[in-house]
Amino acid sequence: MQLLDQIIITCLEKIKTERSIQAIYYILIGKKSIQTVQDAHIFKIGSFYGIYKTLGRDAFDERILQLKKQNVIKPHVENTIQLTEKGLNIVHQQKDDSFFQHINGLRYSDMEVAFSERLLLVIQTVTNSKMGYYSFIPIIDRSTITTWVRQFFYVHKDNQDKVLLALYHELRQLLKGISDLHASIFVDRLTGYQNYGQSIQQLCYQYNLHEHDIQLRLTATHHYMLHEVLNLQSQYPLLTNFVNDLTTNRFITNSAKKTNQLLHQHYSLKQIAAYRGLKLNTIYDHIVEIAIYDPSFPLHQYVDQSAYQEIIAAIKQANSFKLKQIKQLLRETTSYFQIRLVIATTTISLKSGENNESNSLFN
Amino acid sequence: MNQTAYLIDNLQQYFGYETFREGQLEIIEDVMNGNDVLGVLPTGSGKSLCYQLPAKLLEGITIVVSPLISLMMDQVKELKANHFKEVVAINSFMEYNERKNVLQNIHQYKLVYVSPEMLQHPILQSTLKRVHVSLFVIDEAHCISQWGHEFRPDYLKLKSIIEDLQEPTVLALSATATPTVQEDILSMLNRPSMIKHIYPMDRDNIIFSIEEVGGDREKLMIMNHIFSTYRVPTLVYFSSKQATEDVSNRLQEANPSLRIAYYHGGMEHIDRISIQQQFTNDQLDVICCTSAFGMGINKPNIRLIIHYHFPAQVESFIQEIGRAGRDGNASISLLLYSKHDIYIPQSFIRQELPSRTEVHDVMEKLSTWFKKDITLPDDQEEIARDFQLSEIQWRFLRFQLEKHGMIKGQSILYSELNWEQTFHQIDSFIQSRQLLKEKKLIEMVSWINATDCLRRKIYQNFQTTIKKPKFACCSNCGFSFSDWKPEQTQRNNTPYSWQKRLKRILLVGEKMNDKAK
Ligand SMILES: Nc1ncnc2c1ncn2[C@@H]1O[C@H](COP(=O)(O)OP(=O)(O)OP(=O)(O)O)[C@@H](O)[C@H]1O
Ligand SMILES: [Mg+2]
Ligand SMILES: [Zn+2]
Repeated sequence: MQLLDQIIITCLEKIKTERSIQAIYYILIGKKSIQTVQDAHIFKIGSFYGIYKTLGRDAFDERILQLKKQNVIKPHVENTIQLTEKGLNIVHQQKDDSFFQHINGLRYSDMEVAFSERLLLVIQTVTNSKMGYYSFIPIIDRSTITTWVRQFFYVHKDNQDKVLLALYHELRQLLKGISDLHASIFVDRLTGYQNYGQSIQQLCYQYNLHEHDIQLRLTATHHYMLHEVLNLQSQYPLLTNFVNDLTTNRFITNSAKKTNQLLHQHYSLKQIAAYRGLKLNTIYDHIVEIAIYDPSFPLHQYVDQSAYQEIIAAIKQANSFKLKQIKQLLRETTSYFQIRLVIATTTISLKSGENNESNSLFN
Repeated sequence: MNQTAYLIDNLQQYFGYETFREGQLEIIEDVMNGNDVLGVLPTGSGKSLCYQLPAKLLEGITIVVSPLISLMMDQVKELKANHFKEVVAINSFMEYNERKNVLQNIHQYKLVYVSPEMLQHPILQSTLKRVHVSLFVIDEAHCISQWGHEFRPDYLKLKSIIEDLQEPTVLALSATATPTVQEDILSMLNRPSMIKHIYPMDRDNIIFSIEEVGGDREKLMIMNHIFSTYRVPTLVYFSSKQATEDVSNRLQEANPSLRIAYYHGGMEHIDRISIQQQFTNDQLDVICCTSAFGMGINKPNIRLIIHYHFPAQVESFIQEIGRAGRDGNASISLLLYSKHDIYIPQSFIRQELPSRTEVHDVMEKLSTWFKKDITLPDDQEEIARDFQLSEIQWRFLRFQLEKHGMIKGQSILYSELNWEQTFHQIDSFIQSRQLLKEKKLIEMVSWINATDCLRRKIYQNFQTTIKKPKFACCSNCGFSFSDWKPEQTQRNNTPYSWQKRLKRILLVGEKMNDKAK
């Protein structure tokens, strides 16, 4: 089974019929909306967040269609989809792949592209420069990357041999930690002096894998590298330079960041809304976003102990994260905002079962 | 120092070439002296230099209007790689901030590439008005002529833009302009006294070969046969992206020792560059591509150009085979023809421009919008989607409507009488365009079916005399593949383990290259 299909059904197994299939697509491409981030969080599929940014909607729909044809998934009510018996079996038996072990989208998806493109362009630049060849055409043309690489090059231009040797040792050390397949794909993608890297399509042919697989496996390798380099800086002194100024995803939107700053200055939510000229509901969105990311978020300021207990009980009873269903089980005075905050910070999982509604009837 | 010596001096200094090629000096001298020039030179003859050198030498800025974004970007990259740094391409792919930055510092550049669409932008126009534009270049100038094979409506607006720029020197360049198209270029630019430098466009080192086949299977068989004998830099042209992928996979399966890849406009930047550069570096043998490939490529030793699908006009064909043999050595153009192939360009011609009902529907909608006081959205893509037109179709129609005073910017203008008349005028214009294209297609097909000399025949509309072929003439004059003995590409092996490959890429243990410049 294709890696992408495995991912889709793994996500599906977690979110069940709580969300439409679209939600999975948004998670994979790393949509910058609170809904998506919150979904990634509460359904515990954050590792998949933003791992395939270039996945097209058509290509995704095509996979869904194939999975239906193979009788792995089937339609459920209201545009949702569920796993079949066969699908459930597949989900439970898969997992050996080192891929699943390495990806961590919620943490690294924002750094990944910059990291890998810097690496590619540095290798191309330094190898060509070592050979005295300056008329090469850069494989990366995004100005944020080229500017960075130019600076890097300037700093290191007098010890190119050392840089290349260090890159070799550090990359080899890193790649030894993953499967030969992943290491090999990674190396084939590199461009050096008079030696251009393989395109995605060429890699597909060479490894007899689908394009999605190649993309995803490269991403996993990058996440793995980021993880190692960030955690073992002393072992990777050169590559540490590539990631120092990059930040792991924390606040998805700048707007939420601003709200957070004001919050720390002890403004009330209404004041923040007025001050920023935004709707109160928008500020609520920001707070939910902050709650997802900030482990020290003071939930009790917004939801008191008894309301919290009631909401948790309601979630369990509904066996669902659907706001409407939960709200129906609660007092009038409990707001959607409070329910969302509790969902954002909770660690409870839903019970599995074919149909949530009928389950909850017999509980 | 006289001017010629001065130019040769700078040619050597900035571009590292010893001498000018045919036509270059004549055109450059005229341009430097402030004369407007129409230059028609064969593909690959070095037209770019005709404005790149003046750009370097003239005070002020040189603007180059170029129809293909990929082409522009490639040229800019190449110039930059070769130490011409004051160059930039302004296009819609640029990030907003980057574009702003470029516009603010426009005076720092000597050479500015723009697409005709971009040039319509009011901000860009007013920026250009504030600086001194000394030379205005129209590359692929046949696009300006409605008789040209790549007619692009936005090109028609160039005349007024040039007028707004206080009359810079104008240089129009093309490789495929018949005398009719040449006249049209002068009149569309309103420069009747442009100096014409027209050079014969026949390429004496390219051999023409056509093979008629029963269908796609036979095309594959022929290619497989060729590829089992020759490993030479080869391009195979297709009319669809899908076909490049499919056939490339099948060829690779049948010829595992050849390195084959595909290339089309739908691929990501990094992959496009990789494929293009692998090919330039002889890391790849064969590229299956659409016409998106080749324009920017600068590989002197492409030996074989195969047309799996033929283009809809002789002019496009000449341009595509023009990528072959830029080093002057014997190269082959092989066209594989099956009778069904004509349906592809035929349906393309029909779909390229909006149909009568589509024009009608759009105008209906505009008139209701007018009555409700609704203006056009700003986003052109959105409008095209609303009208269910392709972007090209909408761009065409918008230009027609503007021309007839039906719309102006975002506002819709309306008068009952005009409306009716405009519809008929646009409709008949579309009809005549389609007729022309069909005629062009017939011309292409009749060339393919010719029984006399293919070389003589393909150039007959462009010029009267023909150079003697350097190696062999064409399949109708008795050429056969077995006469062809090109130099074959040497292939070096890549090590098996990733550890060794990594070591090699990072040049560990490799000596520095002293002879490189
Ligand atoms: N005077 C010269 N001496 C040697 N090489 C030259 C000279 N002028 C141009 N060239 C080279 O000729 C090649 C073709 O040049 P260019 O791309 O400008 O051709 P072109 O006429 O624009 O072709 P096309 O019709 O395909 O656009 C380039 O590699 C260029 O560097
Ligand atoms: Mg050119
Ligand atoms: Zn002949």
